[in-house]
Amino acid sequence: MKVTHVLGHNSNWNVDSYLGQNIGDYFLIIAFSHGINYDSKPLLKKVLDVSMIDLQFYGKNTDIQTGKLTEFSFHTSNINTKENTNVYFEKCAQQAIEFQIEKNFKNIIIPLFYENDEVNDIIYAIKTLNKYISKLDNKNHKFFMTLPLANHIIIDKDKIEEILFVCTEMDICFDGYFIACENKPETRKKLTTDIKIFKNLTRVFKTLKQQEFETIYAYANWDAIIYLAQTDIDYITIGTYENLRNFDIKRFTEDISGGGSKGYYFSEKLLNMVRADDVTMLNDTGNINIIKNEKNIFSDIILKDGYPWNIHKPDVNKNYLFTISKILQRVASISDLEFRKEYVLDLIDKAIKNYNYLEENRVYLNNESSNYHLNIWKTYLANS
Amino acid sequence: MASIELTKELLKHFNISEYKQANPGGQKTVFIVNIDNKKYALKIINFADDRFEREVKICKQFDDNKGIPNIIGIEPFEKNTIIIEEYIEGNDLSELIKDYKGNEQKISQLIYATATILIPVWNAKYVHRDLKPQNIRIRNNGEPVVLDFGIARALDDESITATGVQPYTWPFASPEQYSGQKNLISYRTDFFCLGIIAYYLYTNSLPFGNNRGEIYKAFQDDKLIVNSGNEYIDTFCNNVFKKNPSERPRKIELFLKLIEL
Ligand SMILES: Nc1ncnc2c1ncn2[C@@H]1O[C@H](COP(=O)(O)OP(=O)(O)OP(=O)(O)O)[C@@H](O)[C@H]1O
Repeated sequence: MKVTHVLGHNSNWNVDSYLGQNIGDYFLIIAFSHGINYDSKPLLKKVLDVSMIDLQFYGKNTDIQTGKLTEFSFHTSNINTKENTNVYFEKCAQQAIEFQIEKNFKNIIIPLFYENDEVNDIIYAIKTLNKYISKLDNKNHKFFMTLPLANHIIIDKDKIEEILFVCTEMDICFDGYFIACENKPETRKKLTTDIKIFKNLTRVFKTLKQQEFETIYAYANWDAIIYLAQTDIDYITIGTYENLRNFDIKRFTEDISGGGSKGYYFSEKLLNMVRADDVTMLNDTGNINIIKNEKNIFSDIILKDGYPWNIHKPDVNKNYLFTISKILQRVASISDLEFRKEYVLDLIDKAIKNYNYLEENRVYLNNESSNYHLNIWKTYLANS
Repeated sequence: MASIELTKELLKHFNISEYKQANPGGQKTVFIVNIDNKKYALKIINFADDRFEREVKICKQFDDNKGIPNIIGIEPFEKNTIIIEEYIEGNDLSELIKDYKGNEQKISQLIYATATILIPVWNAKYVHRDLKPQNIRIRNNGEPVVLDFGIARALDDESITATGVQPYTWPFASPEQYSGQKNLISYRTDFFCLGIIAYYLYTNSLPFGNNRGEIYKAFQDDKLIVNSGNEYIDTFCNNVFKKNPSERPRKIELFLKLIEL
């Protein structure tokens, strides 16, 4: 498993943490943020040979903010509504593939145009692009087909089977799939607690792996560990800002919202993000050790008294990158899947105990800082 | 069995000297007939449209496949469609199941040979979709022949299924056939059915129940696991008995590897 940095806004944190602290193994360049000249940026040049690019055909310019996407002449964000979308899209996708081949990316991500997120359109695109790739007969690159799983698809097991059915047919020649999933967490929650999503997304990863495809979990959040607990995944992305960890089909903006937010502390001991204000309170009540990440320089810096918390501080973000990549690596290193699941269940158990301990000591965390997710994780995993 | 008489006109038209009904009849009635001292299988389908012309064209592609009977002729007659087919000597597999009981070696060979016949069919993106012991004929030298390819396909047409008649035979049908999910029917449907046949031959009993209701209920479960008492048969079956076709072997080679003993 390769921990893969998503390079969006403030990519320097990712690249620095990779070069300086050895965090992560691979990179996913976001076309939205970096545009056509991504490869002349000194920062990105340092990691180009371990990078892939998502050209993000997730919508057309009427319903998305286009950022730097329109710089790519073949991008669907340039679409003129009068044009026949299917034919137009096919051409765009083929040019996007050619572009990546020319730029010599080892892993090529075949974009899937998300015009009307219906299963039949996805199936049609998979079939046509598969035909195109089979004719290319190119063995020097690996081809990953994008599967953008809209919320109405991922919660429906029949729709998922229709897609997996086509993805695993005998004449499919993709090397793997690039999977982005629209989780739609409830407000004031960062993660979904929809058990249908756990079940169906697990099936997606498991089935594709079992059928010997490589899998990329793109725009993943830290709940990636419950999928990784049950099957190997070849690439899992880690991202700094919220929008890089929470895929939304209709909106792919460089949303650095929470502009005023002080940020969050990701705790390996709670398997959760704790709001900066809650961190202060934990500090004041002498409970900080219950949530403190071990052997983590970034955490050490930001937990110091009087730290000026802010969502745009590198250490706040690097604490997440470091902590989650450590957990993912540890989980993936356990090759026996039974043991792996036990290990993750144990992590969850410990986190639940830490929450309980805090409550016994009259410290109550609210909203996203609270334990709204662990009991569901545990129940789901223990019974899967 | 409701015995059906062939009309004088039909006998005369096809120059039939003798005939014997081979199945109970219904949508399709099969007769073994004698024409010019040669045996043929004559199939009467109780409707006439251009569907079979299309199917016959498909079957013609496989004319040199020894495992599929040649079609000699097809024509509409008295509101029916008549198909005349090469007669295959030997027995239906359904008459021989006792010979296979507990014999994984023999079953492995048979399923392998049957799948091998179907390789070009599957590669051409066709599906048999009605594999069952009555549709596998065993020549006297032991080689299998797959009957009814093409017919199963045509009978599975929307317009017929809509009338409520299910072309597949319940004991050997797959979960996607039970649930009527036509878009999930593929070569992997045939894989599943061959799994049922393997299990049935080994134990002489059905894996998921003895009637439609029982099987329908069994197929509601996400995990279909069987225990035939034989490790080899179980490994093969449990790899193809995946409720979701997407989880069954993806490549024909993989499927063949699973059957090989
Ligand atoms: N080409 C053939 N050569 C020898 N026997 C044949 C041939 N075709 C059919 N038969 C015989 O006719 C019997 C009945 O055919 P078949 O199994 O296709 O009918 P069915 O079971 O009534 O229909 P269905 O398969 O549509 O459910 C077969 O079991 C077989 O014994």
